[in-house]
Amino acid sequence: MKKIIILLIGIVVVSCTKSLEEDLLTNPSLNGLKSEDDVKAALTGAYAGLLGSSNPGYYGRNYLYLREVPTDNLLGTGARKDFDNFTLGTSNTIVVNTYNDIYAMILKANLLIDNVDKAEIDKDLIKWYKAQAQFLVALGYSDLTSLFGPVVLITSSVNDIEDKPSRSSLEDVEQHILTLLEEAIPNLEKEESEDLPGAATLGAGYALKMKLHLKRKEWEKVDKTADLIMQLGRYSLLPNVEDLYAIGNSFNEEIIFSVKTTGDPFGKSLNALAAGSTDIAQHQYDGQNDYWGFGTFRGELKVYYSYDPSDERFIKLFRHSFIDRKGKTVGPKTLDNKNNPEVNKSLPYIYSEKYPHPLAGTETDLRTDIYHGSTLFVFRYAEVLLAKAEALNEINGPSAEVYNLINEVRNRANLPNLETTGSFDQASLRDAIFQERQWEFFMEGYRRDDLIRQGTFVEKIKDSHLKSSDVINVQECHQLFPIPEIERSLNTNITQNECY
Amino acid sequence: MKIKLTIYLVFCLGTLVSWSQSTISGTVSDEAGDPLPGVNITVKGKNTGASSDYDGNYNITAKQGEVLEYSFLGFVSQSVTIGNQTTINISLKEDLAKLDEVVVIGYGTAKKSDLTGSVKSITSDKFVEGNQNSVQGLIRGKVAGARVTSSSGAEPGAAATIQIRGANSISGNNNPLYVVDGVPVPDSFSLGTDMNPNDIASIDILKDASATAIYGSRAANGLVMITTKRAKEEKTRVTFSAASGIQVLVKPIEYASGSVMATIDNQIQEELGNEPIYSEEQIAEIGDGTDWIDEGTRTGMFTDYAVGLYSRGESSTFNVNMGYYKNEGVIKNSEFNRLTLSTNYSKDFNDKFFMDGSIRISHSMTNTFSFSEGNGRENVMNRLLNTSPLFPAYNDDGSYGVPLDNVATFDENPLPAILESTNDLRRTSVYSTVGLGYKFNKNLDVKVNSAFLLQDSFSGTYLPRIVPAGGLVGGYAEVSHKDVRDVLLEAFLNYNLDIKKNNTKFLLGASMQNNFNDQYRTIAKGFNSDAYLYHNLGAANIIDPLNSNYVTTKRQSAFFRMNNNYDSRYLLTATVRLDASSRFGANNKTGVFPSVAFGWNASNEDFLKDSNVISRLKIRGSYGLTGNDRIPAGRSNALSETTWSTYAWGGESGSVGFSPLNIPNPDLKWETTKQFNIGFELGLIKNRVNIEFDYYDKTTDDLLFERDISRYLGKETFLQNIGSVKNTGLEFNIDARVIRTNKFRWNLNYNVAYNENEVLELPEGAESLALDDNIGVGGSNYPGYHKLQVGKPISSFYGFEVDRILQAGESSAMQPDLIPGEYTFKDQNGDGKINDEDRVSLGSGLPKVTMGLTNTFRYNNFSLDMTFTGAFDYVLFNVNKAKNESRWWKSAENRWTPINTDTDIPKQNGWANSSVSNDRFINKASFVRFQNITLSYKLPNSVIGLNNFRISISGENLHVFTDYDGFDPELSSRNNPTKAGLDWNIYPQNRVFSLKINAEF
Repeated sequence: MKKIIILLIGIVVVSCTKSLEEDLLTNPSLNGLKSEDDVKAALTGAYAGLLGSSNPGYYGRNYLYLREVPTDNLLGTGARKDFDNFTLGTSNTIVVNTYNDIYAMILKANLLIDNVDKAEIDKDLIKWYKAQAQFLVALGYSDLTSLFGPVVLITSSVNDIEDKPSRSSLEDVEQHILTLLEEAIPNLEKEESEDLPGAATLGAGYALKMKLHLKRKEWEKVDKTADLIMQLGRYSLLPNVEDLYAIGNSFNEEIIFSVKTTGDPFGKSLNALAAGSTDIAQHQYDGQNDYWGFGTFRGELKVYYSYDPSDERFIKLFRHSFIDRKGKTVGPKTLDNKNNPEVNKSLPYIYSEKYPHPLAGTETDLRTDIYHGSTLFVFRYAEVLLAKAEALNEINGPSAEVYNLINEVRNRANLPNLETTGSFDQASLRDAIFQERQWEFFMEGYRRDDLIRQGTFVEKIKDSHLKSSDVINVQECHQLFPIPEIERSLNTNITQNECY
Repeated sequence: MKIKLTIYLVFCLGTLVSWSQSTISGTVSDEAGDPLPGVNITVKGKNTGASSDYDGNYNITAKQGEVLEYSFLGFVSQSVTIGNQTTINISLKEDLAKLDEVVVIGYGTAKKSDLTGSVKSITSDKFVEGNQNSVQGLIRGKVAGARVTSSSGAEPGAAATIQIRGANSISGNNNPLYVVDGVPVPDSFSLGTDMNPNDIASIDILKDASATAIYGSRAANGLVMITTKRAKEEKTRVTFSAASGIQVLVKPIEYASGSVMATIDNQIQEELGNEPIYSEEQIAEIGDGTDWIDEGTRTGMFTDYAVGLYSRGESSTFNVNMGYYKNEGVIKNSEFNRLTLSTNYSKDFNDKFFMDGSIRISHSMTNTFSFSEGNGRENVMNRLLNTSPLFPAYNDDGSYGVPLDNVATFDENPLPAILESTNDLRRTSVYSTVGLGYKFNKNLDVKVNSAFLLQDSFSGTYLPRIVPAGGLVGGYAEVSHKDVRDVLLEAFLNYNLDIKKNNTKFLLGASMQNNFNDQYRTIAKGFNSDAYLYHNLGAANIIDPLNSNYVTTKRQSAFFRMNNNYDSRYLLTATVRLDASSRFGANNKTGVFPSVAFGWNASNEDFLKDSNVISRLKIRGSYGLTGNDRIPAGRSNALSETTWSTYAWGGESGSVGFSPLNIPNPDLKWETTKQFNIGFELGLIKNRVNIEFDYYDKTTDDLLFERDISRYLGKETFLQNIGSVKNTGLEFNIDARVIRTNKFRWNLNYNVAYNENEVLELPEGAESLALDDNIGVGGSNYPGYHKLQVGKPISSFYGFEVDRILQAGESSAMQPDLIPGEYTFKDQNGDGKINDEDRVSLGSGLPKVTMGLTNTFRYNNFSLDMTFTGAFDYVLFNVNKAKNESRWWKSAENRWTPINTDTDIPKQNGWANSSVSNDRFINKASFVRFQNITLSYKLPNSVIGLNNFRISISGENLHVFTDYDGFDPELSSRNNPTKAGLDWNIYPQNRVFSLKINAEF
């Protein structure tokens, strides 16, 4: 009997020496990337970072809120009003979440960069995966500097939590972007990856580089990089501009890089925030007049009325009027802010058709199908043409080459050659190019950077509202968004941008 | 058939033995000669028993030479050997050591006089009467320093929580460890509602380190030791109880009159020069409008049946208890049903070898809703408090009413969600134990215990098309399943060493406990018919990916205790426990938790031994370390997550990738609480008055905290052991038998506890730490309303002080987006801006003082129990009011409008500015509650041949004395003590009136 008892105690005591490791089956440890599947899953996770870590997400609606509302393109509704009238606080969730989302993506990409060398896969594949992650980090910093100016530069996945770095200089961050791209570009492929279609191609690498040079007004380099893209020979404008925005057309000869989304996202449930997708489409329709949409993207009417009526981009890409749920015709107010006699109800804004919802107009409640595989543009060929035109005009002023580049974009929209509409010197041609960009890229996230580069940020925004009584309190320093308050409370070495 | 046979057998046996038996009769009285009713008289070694009637008389059949035993609670038991007499009159002596009750400590029991720790034992006769939702509610107001609160009010099937001696942890969980008959029950079990309160014999609350350190890394929040009922007397007893009662809503608010609201809206439009919104006919039709609270509630009802069979033989005990409980709550369709079956057994095989065990099975079915915070349409109370009274609940044809056509609103009728949705939660739990013991001799024994716990929960939800949330997606079904398994194996050795007057008890043991947690969940929608409910997910057009997850925890421990007792005068206790847990980081795998305590029974010293006044005096002191090991699983490792890591390569369906879930922390460990306690116990006049007083001082270091980290690190938080919190407090308890005459008795318990909570240290020496807690009040401008501040208690609210209401035509330079009718706030730092820095501390959601008062009056066979509870010196954030007072409540009739400017109620829907945390909505919540009154009558035993037949009526929550104007001053929608004190969307409080019958055969 004694033996049994001693044995029993023994069992308990002996078992104590056994290890107490946890079963991490639901959340496997990220300590090592071994197989190609592991690496692929890590890259997938990093790319998913482009959609942020919650709805509306980095390249989701937040991208447009940050880049189109505080311009002369879109009005701000609800919580976005602060962007429109420049009363933004330092804890605005759209600003804070975007800042967090970008750094979260950078961490994921840095983890891949730091660990991929250890993977037991082909050396060339390792280079390609690393180049992908480097592209993402470069894109992240490109967006961070565009939104916040100089930021803290993080170059590794392992950091001391107690460190209190200051914001790096803009030059350092931009240099890091260029270094990353220089390393990545030789390892990127010209054609789409068969395995992971949608991953950055060589064209995407060049386009990101071109974007940085454009921002820095390095005209020669813009011109050269644009040439590199054109020499790839795989990009051209789609013949019909509206095809660019069709659902499911995110691979075509005009798109250089876009964020891919699915209409059948993971975790799609009632009121849920679905990963892998975007609800941008739903937000181009409103709830009261329209098809039970959320209506947060409202185009400003001054832009709307600035289009040439024969412009295909005007004709095809705006919802000029629609029948509301009560059977009434709804349309925009007139340019002098009067009710439009042609419709039953006049709205002081216009909805775009660039991110169409397939069920709109079918009398279906759009809330039953919120998420769509909309194309989220990052780089497309039209910009290469217009950027090269801009660079050449800055270098040598108007020339046939400049006109040809612009006309390629205009003609596709059924507009006549630019030189037939007037005579241009360098300055007026510059304005014409920016005007063309506004028409071409309306609601695609280019406008804010354009206004800043053109130096018309305050002037154009002040004059953007149809209602002349609206006072917009915009200043030059609003070109940068505030560093999130919490970031400054956690690290007092971080300075705030002017204006906030 | 069986009954006949039994009667026959009894008859036969009766005649067989009758020749040698005789009837003994007599009276039992106390020392003063007053008769004692209800004394238990048994024949030693036999299953025969009787009890004395109201006049102390008894009859019992026994043989010459047999021994009669007389026992009665509070009196010294006596035995008499039967000679040739037939009348035995006996007087029982009051038991001076009566309060020397046996209390449950970890791995055993002890006499209270031998204890060096702070322990309070509540036996079932002292439990709070009436409808008890959960085990926790049984000791409400009974134990100084044990605060019982409910986050879900009177919701059927929702457990209350017990918080002992304030809040130690800022990471969330301050629940004590529950130990049922020796088995520590993990948090993942719903113990509070699984157990039938009728099965519980006693609940012991262990408070200081001397008492709790034996459970080491799980004991920092105190221990709740639950002991179930067992057969005690050597006879077979059958107990029966039935209770039933009604629950009446304590109506939280009144809705505004619909026509008044419509008229106000019209007047505003008239003032603005616009057309009226509502026509005269419409206003007439609206009339008083709809009171959604009336529509969504009913009179609740509960019934509670319990049967128990207790049997004790010479070497074995056995009992089996069954219970059925049903509660239909005051919110329509909210319901809880529970069936329990439990059994305990023990057997001594011989002098040395013994075994015991238990099986408890509980099956419950709940129809439940969400009463969580937030503005979601699924939150039932949110809808019932926040829907326009201007449209009817039902149309004339019986269909559900819809918002008026001419009013732009996102309102929807809240009733379909309550009446038409299916929300089933079914739970089956099994708690089973087997223990084997061996006594080497009278001084040494060893025990091996094993336990297997299982809880299987299934929940199924279906929202049909008529429920707006379901209609949107063509029927919405959600099914989830969770099973939790827990395996415990432990062995321990007891050794008793007597050297002259010095007695020492040793305990040495080891334990391992593993917990496994599996769950899955899936969602389907777009059904071709509502008929399936959630029972045929295959009929849905869209089925979401199945989510599943698995969590384990493994613990291994060794423990030691030594109790030294010199002549019952000097006591010394030393304990130590070593705990290793899978949740601890690689650099901190094992924790050591020692405690030491001294006690001095001064009343056993010569100079007090014979005192007539002081019958008991003990002074005790303890110091020790305990831990809180509630670390989220896996967090010391670099974990991955998948949910937001999908990307649609090729623009088609999403692929699932990895992303980091956390930044790993291999240093992660338990929170350590160092507690110092000093107490004294005083018994006066033969222990008629017992006073207990404790002072404690505990500091919790290494607080687990999900610390905000710089966002450029790529994650927002990092789980770390940082910071420290201090709780100091006083506890006072008095039990007095104030009046003790033959016919009338008055017993009193009063307990009061004072706890001062203070944040000592925050990460990196920060003076304050905002808790990023933006859940919908005040929008994104001013997120959060709780702040941790050094020198202030945790759960401190911070917010603005309201200055005035902005009037029409004015604008505020400091608050540029303010609209007339909204609040302007005080610029506390005078910098000309209103921002986060102008938010000041507005009080804590944790009360400083809690108290309980119980009076029991007994007159003849009547008894009257009254319990009062109270809590003082704390605040609640009345979010319900902040969001709704200017919307549709009665108060909204007087809200600010362009035509009603002289008011302190802001404009309608100004919540983005006016509802942010401010001193108008954060209010003092001190209260005294008339918790319970019970009047009972015990029938004399002789009347109908039943023992202990008792009938009682109870009223609960009869009145609350408070200045707080919200739902209820005791409810907080979160148990999380860092964010305590939110009054938001909670299940409303009710009054209960009930009738109960107890009987024994």
